[in-house]
Amino acid sequence: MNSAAEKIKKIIERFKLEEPVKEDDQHFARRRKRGLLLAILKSIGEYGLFYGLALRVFFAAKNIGVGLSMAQSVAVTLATAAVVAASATGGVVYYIKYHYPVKEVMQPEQKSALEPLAEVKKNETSSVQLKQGNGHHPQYRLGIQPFSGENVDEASAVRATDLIIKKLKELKGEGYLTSLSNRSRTGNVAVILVGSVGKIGDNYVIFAKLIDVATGNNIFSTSETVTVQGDFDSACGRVAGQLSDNL
Amino acid sequence: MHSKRNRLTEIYSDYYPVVFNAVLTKVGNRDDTLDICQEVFIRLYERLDRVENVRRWLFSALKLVVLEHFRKKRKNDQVNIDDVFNDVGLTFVNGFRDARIMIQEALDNISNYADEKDQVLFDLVAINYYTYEEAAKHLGLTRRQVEYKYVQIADRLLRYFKSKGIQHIEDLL
Repeated sequence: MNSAAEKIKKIIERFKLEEPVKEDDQHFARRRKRGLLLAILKSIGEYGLFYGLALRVFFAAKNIGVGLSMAQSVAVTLATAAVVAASATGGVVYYIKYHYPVKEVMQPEQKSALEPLAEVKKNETSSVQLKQGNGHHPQYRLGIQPFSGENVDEASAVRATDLIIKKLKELKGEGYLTSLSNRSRTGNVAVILVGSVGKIGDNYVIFAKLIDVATGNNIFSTSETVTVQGDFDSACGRVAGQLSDNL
Repeated sequence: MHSKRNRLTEIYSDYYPVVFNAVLTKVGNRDDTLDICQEVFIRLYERLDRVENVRRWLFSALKLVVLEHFRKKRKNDQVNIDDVFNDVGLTFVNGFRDARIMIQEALDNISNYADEKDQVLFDLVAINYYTYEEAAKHLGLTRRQVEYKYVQIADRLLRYFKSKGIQHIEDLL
């Protein structure tokens, strides 16, 4: 012990100024410190849950030798509560999103294909009626939506659309189908063709689907896979052939 | 209202141990001590705006509340404050009494401390025999900080004694 401190200690003892407190009483006093303050605050009507949390921070900091003021403790508690609330909210949102995924809405191709045809629905002929071969041969046309590109350049999708249109015209005749991108020739269509061209690795995937305009049901769908170096035109031809067989 | 509550909390945090110690040495019972401490700080809150010297006010108030406690306990309004706070200093006579008074004044003189918290630190360590660790936990300091501050206070007190004409502390002893 420093000599100055020792001298002061001796002076205090000599003149009986000391009032020693037993060690277990010291520990008791510290253990009951926060609880007594809570009792005081409650009796004067100044206790709240948030302030109680701030007090925990205040006394915990003192215990480890950090002298925070009450205002600082309140700020720390507020910041901690904000972080916890944000984390909890994020966790709940993630859980709901993971366990209860939103159902897929109708594909845009169907919607965009159907929307321009709404005004002509009343003039459409059911594909079922046509297939029944009841002697009536209503004039219907196949409407073709431009194919979309999935992970490919637009030129590939345009080329696929053109090749399939060309092949279908060869198989079904010129007046059988119309391109829906050409708004000047919407006419009456009973069936629309939608499709896409995608690229997965070194392969092109050509996908096509026939949709009954009256019911919105899928009539037929098909796909063809061809390597990048392969015969893209023949693949489009095969798709057109399969579509033709199911029209 | 919130700043008053915060001020009470901070005063309580610093002065609770010295108030607790002072009451416990008189009352001798932990639970009664806690009740008296609670009453003292509630009264402090009610008068906080008017209190200038918190330390002086607290020690005056705790004497009053302790006296009320004994009167209530003994069901005797005639309990005397001198009976409760029997000053051992009265046993000192002549020069010894004068020296004791001078030393007590030195210990009460705030200019011998850096701030009020330093005075509380000295009370806990020198008067109440708290360990440096225990005092540190009450005051939000580290053990080394408490030890350093205590030595600084001791040096200041010795310089004060010298200024009062006591060149050699051994003379006091």
